[in-house]
Amino acid sequence: MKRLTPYLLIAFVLGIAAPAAAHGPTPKKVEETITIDAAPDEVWAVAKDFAGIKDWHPGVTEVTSKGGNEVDAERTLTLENGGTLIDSLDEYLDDEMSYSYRLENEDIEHFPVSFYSATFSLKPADGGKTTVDWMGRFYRADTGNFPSENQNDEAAIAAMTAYFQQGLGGLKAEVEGQ
Amino acid sequence: MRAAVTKRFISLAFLMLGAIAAFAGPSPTAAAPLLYVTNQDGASVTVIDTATDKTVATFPVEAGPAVIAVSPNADRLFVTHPDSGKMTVLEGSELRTPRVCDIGGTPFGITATADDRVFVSDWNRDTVSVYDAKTCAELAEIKTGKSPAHLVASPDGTRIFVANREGDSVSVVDTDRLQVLATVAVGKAPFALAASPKGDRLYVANVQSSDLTVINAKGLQEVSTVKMGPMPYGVAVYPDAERVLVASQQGGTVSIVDSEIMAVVQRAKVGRYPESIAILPDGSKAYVINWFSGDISVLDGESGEELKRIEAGEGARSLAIVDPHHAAPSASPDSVQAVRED
Repeated sequence: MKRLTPYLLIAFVLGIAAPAAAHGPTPKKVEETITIDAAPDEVWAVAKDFAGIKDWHPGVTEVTSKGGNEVDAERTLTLENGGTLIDSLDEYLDDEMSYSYRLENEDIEHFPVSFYSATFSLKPADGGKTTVDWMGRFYRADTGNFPSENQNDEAAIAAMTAYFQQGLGGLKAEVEGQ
Repeated sequence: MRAAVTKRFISLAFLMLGAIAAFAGPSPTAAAPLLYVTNQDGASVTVIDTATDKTVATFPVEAGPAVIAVSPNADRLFVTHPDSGKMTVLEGSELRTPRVCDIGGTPFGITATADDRVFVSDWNRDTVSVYDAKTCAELAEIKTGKSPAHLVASPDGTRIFVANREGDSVSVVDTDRLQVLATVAVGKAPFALAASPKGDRLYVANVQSSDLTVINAKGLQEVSTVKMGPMPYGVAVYPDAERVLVASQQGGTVSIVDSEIMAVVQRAKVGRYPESIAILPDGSKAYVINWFSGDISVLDGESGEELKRIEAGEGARSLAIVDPHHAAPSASPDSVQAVRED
């Protein structure tokens, strides 16, 4: 390897152009919030379990999990479009009604994001209500410089936004009993 | 006439002060270091005066500036643009004159040595390329581990340490022979790393295993692994080497690690999704970019407490501290003065 001429080395490197890596050029962010007409305790009672997302997220049809709400717990989500995402729990703050997780195993065919980290948290709002905040930092599906339109930044932002909005809408409906 | 003489006298006095400061180290009246921050979405670089912690300038650069690094002589700044395969060299007395080099690929991590060479990682090609900082001519291409992210030069410039994010390792490059000397296994998904001022230790933050691998930077053995908050993304070592700061992206915190006992002794709450960290040369303050909040936390270097937040540009990503007093002795007083006049 060390004795390869520069030309050979370049040819070698070009020949094995690496697949998309999990850290990309420009991270993107999405933050969605919703106000729910219930006290934080009531909302947290519904939303607190890392693996309980299926109970309120209409886009998640199946969940298998291990580890409960402990750090490094995993949840495997089946999406309504047939995709599978595995999330890994990074931080769980019961007192602060907040948890953070990251994408452990991507499925860019069904969810065009190569990596995300996200935080789901509750805050008291005026009138005894609750604001739920869901924020994510992520990279598009194809982190190379020439992504197709299904795997570019716009596709990733659209997917994350839709997923958060759908989930928050579902949580509101679940808690408010609509 | 009299005014002119007075003015000349004042200029001379300032020049002398500048010269004294340049050799005698920081003093309260001397120019404070400047902080240069890349705004990846805003296609600009923001300059903050660390004396006042206020923005003194924002100037446009090529699209998508990611990582910024300063040369050891503080005479150049280097910026990578992964989306367009470019590198910007910022020069001139105020380090605001851009020279754009088309180097290709997806350049990300960047570091420079005092002999005017710059080392750039490419995570898609699994390489570090070496360029002449004056001409951007490519001098070598070195194969690293998988998906190299940040890289850092040893203080004496003899080695470059490269964090291979997908390789779970650090490649150690000999800067004379321009070859990989060794590959050291670290935790899962190393992203950022920092060398101690004396060059005896290397601190590597592992994003996925949420820990800090401490390596003997000479012998290249692991010394310790310290558990961190979730997703450690930025590392900086104090000038006295006694403490290390590590930003936990998921935790929204900065951990202070005691390098003697190898344990976290304190945690400071900062903004949302902190990334890069830098510490002033005198250790008095530290700066943390909060990527999601779009601001910069200023931490008291002694207590670790957050002093204030500075508004940052869109997609603030990386920062470099330019200390006029760290300029090489050959630097002209003009450059010292020019920076001070901001």
